[in-house]
Amino acid sequence: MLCSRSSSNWLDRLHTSKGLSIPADLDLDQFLSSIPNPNPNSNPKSCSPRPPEARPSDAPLSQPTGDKPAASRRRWKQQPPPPEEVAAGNKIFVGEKEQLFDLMSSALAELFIMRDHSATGILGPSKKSARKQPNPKACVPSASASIDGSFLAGAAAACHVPPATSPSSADNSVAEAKKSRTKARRKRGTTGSPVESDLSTYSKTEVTVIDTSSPGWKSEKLIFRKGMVWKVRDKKLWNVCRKKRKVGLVERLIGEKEKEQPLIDMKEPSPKEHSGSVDEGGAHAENRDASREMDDQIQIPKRRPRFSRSPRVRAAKDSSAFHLITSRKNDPAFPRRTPKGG
Amino acid sequence: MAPPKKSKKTKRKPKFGDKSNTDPKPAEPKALEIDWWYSFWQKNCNSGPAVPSDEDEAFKYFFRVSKKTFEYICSLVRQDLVSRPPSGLINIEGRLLSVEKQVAIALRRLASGESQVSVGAAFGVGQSTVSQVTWRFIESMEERARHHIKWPDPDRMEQIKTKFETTYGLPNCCGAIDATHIIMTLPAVESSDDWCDHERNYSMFLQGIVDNEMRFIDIVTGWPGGMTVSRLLKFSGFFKLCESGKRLNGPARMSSEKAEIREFIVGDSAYPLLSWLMTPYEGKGMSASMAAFNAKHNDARLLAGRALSQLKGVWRILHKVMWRPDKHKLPSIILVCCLLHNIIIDNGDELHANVALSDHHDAGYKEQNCQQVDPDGKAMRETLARHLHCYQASRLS
Repeated sequence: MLCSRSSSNWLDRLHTSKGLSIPADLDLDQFLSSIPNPNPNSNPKSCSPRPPEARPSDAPLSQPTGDKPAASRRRWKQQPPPPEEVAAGNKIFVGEKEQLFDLMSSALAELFIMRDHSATGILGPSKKSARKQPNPKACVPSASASIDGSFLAGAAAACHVPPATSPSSADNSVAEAKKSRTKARRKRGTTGSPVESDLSTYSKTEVTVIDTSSPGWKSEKLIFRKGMVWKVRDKKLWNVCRKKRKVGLVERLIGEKEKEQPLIDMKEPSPKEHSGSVDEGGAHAENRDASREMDDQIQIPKRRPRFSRSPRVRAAKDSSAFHLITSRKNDPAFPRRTPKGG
Repeated sequence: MAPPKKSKKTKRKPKFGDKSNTDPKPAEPKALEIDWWYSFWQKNCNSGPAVPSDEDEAFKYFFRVSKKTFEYICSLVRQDLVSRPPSGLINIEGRLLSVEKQVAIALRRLASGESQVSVGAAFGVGQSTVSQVTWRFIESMEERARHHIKWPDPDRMEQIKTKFETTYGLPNCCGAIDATHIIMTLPAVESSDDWCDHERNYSMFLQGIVDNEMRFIDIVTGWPGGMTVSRLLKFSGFFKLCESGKRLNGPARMSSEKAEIREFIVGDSAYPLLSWLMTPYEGKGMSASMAAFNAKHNDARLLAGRALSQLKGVWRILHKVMWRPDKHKLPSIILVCCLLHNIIIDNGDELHANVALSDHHDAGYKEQNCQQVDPDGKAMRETLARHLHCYQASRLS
C-alpha cells in the first residue's frame, strides 16, 4: 500500500501529522538525489512527471534537525559529489545542510523503522507498527496442500504429482475450501442454514461411511463434535459412481440384482444425470431409509461429488469417449444400470 | 537420427478427439496375457529373501491369492477393466494393459502397501497408471464383489452357531466383533481433530463382525478414529438393526437352567454389555462360572482380532501409515480389502503362515473400557455363565 503512493504524499502526511513546516516547494526526491547523495547522472528535468505539489528543489532549506543518522548517511556518502553540486554547496552553509539532512533522515528512519537509527529526533517517540500482520492467519489449504490426489499414496513420491494433473486433487481442494468457508461462516455466527444454527459451536467434519448394514452401504455424514459430544447428520447417499458403470456382467448377476431390487427401486436415476459432469446435481436428493434411521437426522442437500475415475472424459467433454458414454446412456438398447443397491 | 516412424506411432498416447486414432488398438494378445506374470516374476524373484522359488507359491506371495482365485477376481472386474481405446490404460511401451495385469497391479498395491512408484516399477508402468488402475479396480470390486460380504441367511447362521457352540461352548453365538484403526497422515493444515485418536494418530475406524471362519459378515468403516469404540458401534447400522429387533432375532435357545439365550455376538470390554452383545466380566473376585465364561468368551472373540490381524497382514496397505489419503476414498479401499479377505476364504485359499501380523492388529493402542451395562445384557451374561459352568461340571462328572 505504501509503495503505491508517491513520495510527496507521504511527506505531506508526515508534515501534517508531525506539525512540521517545510516549504511546500521542497521536493524530497530532488533533495535526496542532489544534496546528500549527489548523483552525476541525475537530471531533475528528465524525471517522470511529478504531482502538482512536487517541484524542483533549489529552494533554501531552513528547518533545524536532530541527531545525525549515521547509517543512512553512510549510504549516501559512498559516491563522490558531482561538480555542480559542489558548486551549489558553496552557496549554503554546510552545518545547515547537515541539520536538514538529519531531519529528513530521522523522518525516513521513523517511517521505515531503520533499526540502527538510534535517535528519533524531533518526530517523537511514537512507534510505527510493522507492515506485516502481527497475527497472520493460516493460509487456506490449496490444491497443493492436499496434493496427494491420487487416492492411495503410500509414498512420498506420490506427492510429486502435480495437483492439476491429478483427478481427485481437485476434489480434495474443493472439499477443503468448502470446509473453510463453513468454518468462516460459523465463526461469524451467520449460519444461513437452520440445521447448523444450533451447531454453530461444534466442529464439523464430512465423512464417507461404508456400512454393510445400511441400505446402499455408502453414505455421507456430517459429524458435529464438541468435546465428547458427537452429533451426526446424514447427507444424501453417494451414488454418483454408479452412473458411469459400464454395462456388463448384468446377466451373470441377475440373481443378485433381484435380491437388491427393493433398494434399486429407491434409486431411480434422474434423466438429467450424465456421466462425468461436474455440475450435475445436488438437486436429486433421494429419500432413503438411512435418513429415517437417525431420529435427528436431516437431509442436507449437497453438490454431487465429482467422479474421479476417468479424468480424461471430464477434461474433454466433446471427446469421442464422452459421446460414447452419453450415447450409451441415452440408448434404450443399453439397459441403464441403476445405482448399486444394498 | 529420428526414430522409425512405426515405433514412434506405437508409443504415442491416444488423445481425445483424435479421429485417426479411434480405431480399436488390439489388446495384448491372449498368448501374452500370461507373460505379464513371468516377466514380473523374473524381474522380482530376487526382490527379497522371502520370495518362494515355487511358482504358485511365489504368485501367492506377491498377490496373496492363488492363480485360480486370481482368475475369479479377474472375471468379476473384467467388464469394467477391459481396455478400450481411447481411454484404455497403457504401459510404458504403449500397449494396452490386459485385465490380468491391471488386477495384478492393484492387488500388488493393496498387498504390499508399497508406493505407487515402486509398484509401477515392478510392472513397468508409471505411477499414475498404478493410481488409476488401482482405483478402477477398487470401484469395480466395490460393486461386483459385494456379495462376498453379507449377513448370513438363517441356514448359514445355524451352521455358524453350531460351530461356535461346538468349538467354544457358546450357544446361539453368531459372531465376534472387533474394531481397528487404519492410521494415516493428514496435511498440516488439517484442522479437524476428529481424526486424531486417543493415541494421537490420525486414523479411521474399521469395525468388523466375523463368523467362525473369520469371514467378515458385517463391516463399518469411514468413521473417525477419534471416537470411542462404543460410539462407533452406536453409529453403525448393525446396532440400529439389532436394537430394532431386525438382526440377531433368530430363535432363542434354552440354557441348562431353562433360561432363554437369545442370539448374540461377542466383543471385548471396549463394547457395552447389551442383550445381544456379550462382553467379558471385569474386575477381581470372579466366581468359577464367571471365569469359565471369560475363558470361552475370550477364545471366541479372538476370532475377530485374528481376522483383523490377518486383514492388515495380507493387505499391508491397511497396516502402513497412509500418506494423506482421500478420506472419502479410503473407506472404499478398506472395504475392498475386506472383500478380498472374504474371497480368499470363500475360495478356500490357504495363506502363508507368516503373512498375518505377528502382533496385535491395533498395536500401540490401549484397550478401551466401556462401563455401559444393559440390565438385560447383564442377565443374559449371567445365564450364559451358569450354563457354561453347568456344562463343564456335567462333562467332568
